[in-house]
Amino acid sequence: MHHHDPEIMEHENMALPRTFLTAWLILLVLTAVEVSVVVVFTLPTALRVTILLITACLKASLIGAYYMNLKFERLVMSYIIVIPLIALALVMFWGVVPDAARILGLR
Amino acid sequence: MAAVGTHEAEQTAASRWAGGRSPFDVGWGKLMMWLFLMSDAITFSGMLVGLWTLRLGSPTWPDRAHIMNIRLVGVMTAILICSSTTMALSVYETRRGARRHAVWFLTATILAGFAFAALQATEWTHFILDGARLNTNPWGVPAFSFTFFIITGYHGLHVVGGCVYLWAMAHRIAKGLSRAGGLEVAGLYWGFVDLVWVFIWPSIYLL
Repeated sequence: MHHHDPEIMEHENMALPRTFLTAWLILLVLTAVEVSVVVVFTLPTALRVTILLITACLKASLIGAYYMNLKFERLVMSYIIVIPLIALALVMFWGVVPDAARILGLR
Repeated sequence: MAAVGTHEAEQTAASRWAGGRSPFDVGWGKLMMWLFLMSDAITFSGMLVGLWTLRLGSPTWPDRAHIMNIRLVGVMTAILICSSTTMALSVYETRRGARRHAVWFLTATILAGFAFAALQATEWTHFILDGARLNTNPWGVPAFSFTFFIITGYHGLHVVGGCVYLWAMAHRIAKGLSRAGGLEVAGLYWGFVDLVWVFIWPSIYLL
């Protein structure tokens, strides 16, 4: 990332479209998995939810890393962007779910 | 990839953190876009947490597979993924100096964005014809249609707004008014629209 050797840069540049296309194919496959666990296969709820959460996280990571260039930025940029958002999601979820579950009478 | 960030080897860690010309080695345009995207991400997070609160607090929640066309929305999701890829390729082509290719890829991205919005409009039409309104619906859970319209509507506005933004950028790239850095910032926005959908689509339709 920090070198300016023209030959290596040229090689990297040619590798880039391939990287985008690989990410594209993986994203399409993950989307097909998402649709199939709801429409095609009948799975236990816990398994279906787990698969959907994992595929969502994988897709988000791929888009953030390659289509939003975080893979190519300084690592500190990724940390500054990703950590607060994950923390926010977890805190809000922990703050909210117990109350919601209480209304529902599960707790 | 040297092309994306402009790294100056002689720059010290101290000068980077001091926030001089380009904090984190990122230009001001890109940093401002990230700032906007972060605040937008917090808005979407709030909406999704709101959805899950209402959902988990509701004794029942309608079965989406019977009400909505999951396969159609799967196609919409795939279209959005394709558009992110053409967007990334457009930035790549601009950086290489191939402006013609870049504009073609941008055109494909814009068309995919409009296709997504059109299919979303179809979804809305079916849903409304089925009797869904913002504050009421035939399935007995008002929060169901409320969260659907608000969240997919807010995202749809981002898609249509993004198409206009990319249209303007395609014009600027074609005329040589904008360079790769500007298009990359637009690409960040478009990637974000796709990223948010990654969480909206399971929350609204699948889970």
